[in-house]
Amino acid sequence: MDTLLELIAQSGFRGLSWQNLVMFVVAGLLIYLAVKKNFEPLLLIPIGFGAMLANLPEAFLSASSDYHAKPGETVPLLQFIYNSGIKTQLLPPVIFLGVGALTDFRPLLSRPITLMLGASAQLGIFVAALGAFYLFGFTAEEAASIGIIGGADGPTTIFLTAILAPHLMGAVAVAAYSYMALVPVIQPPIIKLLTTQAEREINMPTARPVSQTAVIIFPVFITAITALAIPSCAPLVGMLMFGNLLRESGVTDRLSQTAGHALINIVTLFLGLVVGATMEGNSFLRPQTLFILILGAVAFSFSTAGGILLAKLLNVFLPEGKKINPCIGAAGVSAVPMSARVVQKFVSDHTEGRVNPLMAAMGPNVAGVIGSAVAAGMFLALLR
Amino acid sequence: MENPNLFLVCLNAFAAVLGLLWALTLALRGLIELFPEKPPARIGPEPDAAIAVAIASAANAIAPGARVTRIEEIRQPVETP
Repeated sequence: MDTLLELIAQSGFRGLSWQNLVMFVVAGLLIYLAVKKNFEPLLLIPIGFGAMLANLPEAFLSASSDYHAKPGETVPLLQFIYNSGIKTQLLPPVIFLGVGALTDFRPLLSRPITLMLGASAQLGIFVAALGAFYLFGFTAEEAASIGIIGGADGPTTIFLTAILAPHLMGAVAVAAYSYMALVPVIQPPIIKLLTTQAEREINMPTARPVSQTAVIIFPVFITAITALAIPSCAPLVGMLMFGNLLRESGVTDRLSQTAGHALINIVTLFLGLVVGATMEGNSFLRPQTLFILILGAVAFSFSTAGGILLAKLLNVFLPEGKKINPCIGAAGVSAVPMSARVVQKFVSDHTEGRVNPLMAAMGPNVAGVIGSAVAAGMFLALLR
Repeated sequence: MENPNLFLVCLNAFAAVLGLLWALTLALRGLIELFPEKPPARIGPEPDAAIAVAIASAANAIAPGARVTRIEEIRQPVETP
């Protein structure tokens, strides 16, 4: 009987708080959205499960930026992964390596002007950062971490937040991935609002073919220029482009396959789980989290608008026959390839299938990955 | 960092993103001009005109309106003993 009482005394049930219970619901919701709605399942399932683990009392499976091991103490499992993978900024660049190995930059190379759409679609980052700072009272570092949600790029968001505001990791990462999953809901009304039927009907000519030499030089070229201009974005852009060089060189298939499949999958597992493990009820259930979710939506909306508006502006100067379908500007928020698909579906639906800008939209879409990494690098350079 | 002016930070950062990507746009344009895609080289001799007409007629019989754009002869490998 004493043993039974001792077991009950040591069980986690005694330590359960209402915050833990609410977080179980949040974790369940994330897993439900991933399984039933197919919303970013590769990340929301690990994040959801990690959130559940973090809220099991006495299990010591949460992770925090404030954790300091006492002498002789064993670092708990997920905290160890956090310390080695997030604090050291190791995991996000490794994911970028895999993304580079999976990404075809030819649509961007064949229409270099679409790089500008990827730049202007970072507008939401700065609008949300200003809102967080001036309206909601976040510090400048926190505001930058919240703003970067508008880049629609998970690894970049985690990379920047781990350095500038690690205590906001859970909320910022969940907002970023949730809104990326909601791109098909968020973007179409904004595209509809900002474009006319005549603009949607713009059928862009077929892009020029790109030589294999240019495709191989591209990653080297981009890395050298961006890393020299903004060194703090080198870990992200450098790894992205290294992965792409492995893919395009044609002589490193084994490395490219590993980076684009096994390695990115392994890292995604750990990254998702450990981000979920930062969502401990006491630190997550605060008004701040709600503000972050609101600002994330603002960031996504302004980024979408930024891409579209620059395309419209460029059209003022471009000759007839070379005009850009402004809808593809919306794909400048990274979220590869979902936002390009959203643009394709929107335009095709509104032109009865006459205009299909999927390949054109892939240009700004992959440019957005570079744009958000550069924006994160700028925040690091100016705020760290 | 003590009380940074976030408005100026954001303005500078956005300008830097636009400026750098604009520079990259120009650089990429130069890159694709410098290394243009060459048209695919013709493999083997020009096909005989009579053979080309025969193949085109056969293709049209199967798929009316089809246009033959390329004819390539693939020789069977010689079997080694």
